[in-house]
Amino acid sequence: MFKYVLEFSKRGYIKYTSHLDLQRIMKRAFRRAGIELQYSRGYNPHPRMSLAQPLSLGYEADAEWLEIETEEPVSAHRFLTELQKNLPEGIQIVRCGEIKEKKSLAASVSGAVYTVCFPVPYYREDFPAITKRYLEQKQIIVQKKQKKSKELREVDIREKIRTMTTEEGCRGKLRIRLELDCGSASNLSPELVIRSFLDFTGLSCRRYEIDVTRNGLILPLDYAIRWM
Amino acid sequence: MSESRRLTEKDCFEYFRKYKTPPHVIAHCEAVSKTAVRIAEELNRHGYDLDIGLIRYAGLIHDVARLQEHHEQVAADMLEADGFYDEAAIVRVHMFYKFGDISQISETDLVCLGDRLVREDEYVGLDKRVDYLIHKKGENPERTRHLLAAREMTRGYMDQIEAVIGRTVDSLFRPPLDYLLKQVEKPARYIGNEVNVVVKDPAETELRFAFAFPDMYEIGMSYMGLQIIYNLVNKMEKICCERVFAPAPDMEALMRRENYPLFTLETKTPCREMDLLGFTLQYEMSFTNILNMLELSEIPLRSDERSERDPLVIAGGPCAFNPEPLADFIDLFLIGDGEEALPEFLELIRVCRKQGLSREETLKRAAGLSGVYVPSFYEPVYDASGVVLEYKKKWYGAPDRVRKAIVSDLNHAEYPVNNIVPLIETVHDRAVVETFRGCTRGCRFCQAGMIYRPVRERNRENILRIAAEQLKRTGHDELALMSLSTSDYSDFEGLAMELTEYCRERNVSLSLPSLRLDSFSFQVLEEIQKYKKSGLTFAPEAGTQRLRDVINKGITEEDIYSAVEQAIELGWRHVKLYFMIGLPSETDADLDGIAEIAKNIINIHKRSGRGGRFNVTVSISNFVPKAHTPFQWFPQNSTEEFKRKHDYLTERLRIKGVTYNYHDDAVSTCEAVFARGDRRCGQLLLNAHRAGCRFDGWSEYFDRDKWNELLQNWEVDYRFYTERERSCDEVFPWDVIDSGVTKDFLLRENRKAEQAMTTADCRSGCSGCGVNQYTYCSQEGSHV
Repeated sequence: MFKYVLEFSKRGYIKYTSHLDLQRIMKRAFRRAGIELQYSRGYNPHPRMSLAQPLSLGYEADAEWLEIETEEPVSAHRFLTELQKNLPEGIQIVRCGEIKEKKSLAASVSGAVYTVCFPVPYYREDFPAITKRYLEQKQIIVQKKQKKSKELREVDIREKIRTMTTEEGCRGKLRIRLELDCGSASNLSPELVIRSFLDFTGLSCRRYEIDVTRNGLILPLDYAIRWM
Repeated sequence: MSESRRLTEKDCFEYFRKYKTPPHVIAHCEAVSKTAVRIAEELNRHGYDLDIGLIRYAGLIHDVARLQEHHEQVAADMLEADGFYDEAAIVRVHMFYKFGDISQISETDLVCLGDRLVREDEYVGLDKRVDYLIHKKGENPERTRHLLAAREMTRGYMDQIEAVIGRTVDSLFRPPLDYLLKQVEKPARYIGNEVNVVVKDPAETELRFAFAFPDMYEIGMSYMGLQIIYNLVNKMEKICCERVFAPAPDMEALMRRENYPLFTLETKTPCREMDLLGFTLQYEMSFTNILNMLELSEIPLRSDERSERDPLVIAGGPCAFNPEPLADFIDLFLIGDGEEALPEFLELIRVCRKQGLSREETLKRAAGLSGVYVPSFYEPVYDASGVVLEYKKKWYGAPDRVRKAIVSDLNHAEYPVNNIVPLIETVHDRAVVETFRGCTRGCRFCQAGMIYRPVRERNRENILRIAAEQLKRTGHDELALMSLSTSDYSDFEGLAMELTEYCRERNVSLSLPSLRLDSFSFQVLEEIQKYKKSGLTFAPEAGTQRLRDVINKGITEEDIYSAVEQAIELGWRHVKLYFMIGLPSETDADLDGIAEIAKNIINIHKRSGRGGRFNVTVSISNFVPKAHTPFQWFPQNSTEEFKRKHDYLTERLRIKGVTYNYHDDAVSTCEAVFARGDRRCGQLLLNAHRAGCRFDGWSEYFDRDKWNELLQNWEVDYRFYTERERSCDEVFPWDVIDSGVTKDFLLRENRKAEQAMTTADCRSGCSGCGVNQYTYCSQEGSHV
């Protein structure tokens, strides 16, 4: 049994596919490429394949991870050519690696980096100072919908924001870089940061004018991936 | 004098701070800058060489000093003092600028034009902006006159720009598709971009065909006919096929709000800009969606209101066999097999376009092709009661009757292997091979069984080759066989065994819909459904043998019971039964028969001694008489009668272990109006469209009260179409369409139904339907 990770970007219209859609898209791409995945045993066999972290619908991504198991060894070349050829437009394999760890990628990811672009000129206000004040708050309380009960509950997200910086983005717009907790141990959606930041600054922009890209996922330093 | 410099965004915001420019003025400046830049970029794309940076920042700074008197002079002086001469010159004149001729266009023109198209911080276009200014505080005739004169001058200038860029200025300011997609459910319905999609460069195509499915993406993409046509047309040179579906109500509301026209998925081209827009007519209750899609495309709804610039609007599919309810809206219908009719038709249209022929002339040429019906060449004449007397030809060249196009050999017909693979889940998301077209059974209620005659089979090698190739190229893990009756394939056992083996080896699940449940089928089902026994389905359609003989459905209760016994033995836990009510000559005894069958199946399970959970679902639909069938003369039950029968069955089916569901009776009434409607139904459709009806085939969108009101308020008594028995010599609106099956045969079958006499399957001897006058029928007497 061989375990690989494929790092890929997701850009353009394909960003409107969901986590479940992407799983199906990947499964079919492997079938078309003729790369045989290891199948689980049981009544309903399914290929051993998982995305390290779900990506919200509408987000672009630079470096998502797909973990797969195969029965036979597969060369990097096959992933980069045959599999790539069979992926829909907008999904580009960046690199691939071998995983020697027992623990799955999904269980190991602890953080993620995001870029958020606002339709606001960077020089309209002193955003670095505002961001500093935003982060200096002892608590950042937001309303969060509970998954099961669907009730709104107040949560403090401050501790889950690792870093937050501002810069001048393309066409002079405000761009914010975020490093947030991400994974099964502790998780924070950029949506909550965006909402509370807009509240804090009083900026009036609509959610659909804001673009989010996930730039990458963060693993513990000792997690070993041998990039091929 | 200092050196000449250029403004940057950073400079602008420093000035804003210095002059305490209020936020709403900054927002206005940003909007003007954006507007001016967008138009300038489009002009540069057409050969101009405007300085985009100058326009952007002159636009951004132009009202910086608006809080002061003579603000344009104050701002210009300040800019000049700091060395921003070019920007200063633009700002200085922006209040009272006069446009000249486009040959002398400058950056100043663009900024000033931008300023005249924006209201506050939003692009609104010239008319709205001037309107706003006219009615602003202090309205007076003098000012109004002045504003109107300025509007005329600006309009003239915009006309010149529009001539250069080949589109309206307004069209440049629709929001990006992204803004819409981020606000709707399942945005991937509108993005295209799937695996195996074909995107041809519009510059290299001479004819652009938009295939329109008048329902949501998930429904349309489950329809194999779409894949067949898409593949077929895109194989043609210089012609492309793109897809368009009905947007869901949330997307529609946004598109209307933003004036965003309906577009194709492949190239996001507005449908209005395509050469042809072709609707597939799968069920009557999608007709309102067609009108809605035309409206969203900004194409006039009625054929006679369209201009030479509009696309030709065409339609095909099973409902085109009675095209009349849509005759006012569709320029041309294609009747019969698309593989046969479409390529020749498209090629002809391509040539007509190239020769620059008018719509009228193009339609005349097309009318000469087999399977083409142009409704505007005919005029129905009605008698006082509304019955058709005759179809008058308005152009001598139109054929007396339009004969359906027939593919004579499926083995030589194009069939797709590289199907589009949807990115999102659809209703049916799998590889599909059509094994044969047509049906030999001759059920008298079934329109498909009549209009798809004769039976044409695809040979086994071909089926296997297509299946293998499709699975390989799509990556699907499910394969389905498609036909009107799977087990009737002449070499079904051989085919099923080979496919079962093939699929098992590749982790592909095989789906065989509408199996006849004999012992062989069970053997196959055991093989392919080892663990998940989803449920067995039977369609007796009627509750007693007498009524089954009337409708010529060749299934006996013994067939059902022996199959159920086997199924229980093999561990099935769920049986589903399909029936129709409102069939000709039906009495309450026939309804009792339905309950009887359900009860007997429950008892078979009890007697088997296997215990455990077991249930039977009885699903009832309401019979809708269809054109081109032996029951086309027959009156439909009234809505009230359906309701009474539903209540009656609800009582009779209170049996432990039996679940009962039925279709909405009001939908069936509406469906029946259009199924045998004439041209006058076009008005009803228009009324329904205006009342906001759409997705009427969806129970959650069908508005019972609204439709009831529409039917009651219609100038024609709708019962003329539903509850009226037609005389045997009546001329029907759909008689102009020749399905290949003769009216004589249909009448004979109708008479036999009255006497509860059955007609044998074609394979045990020709029943004389007449289709073999036009084409070879391989099935007549093939089992004798």
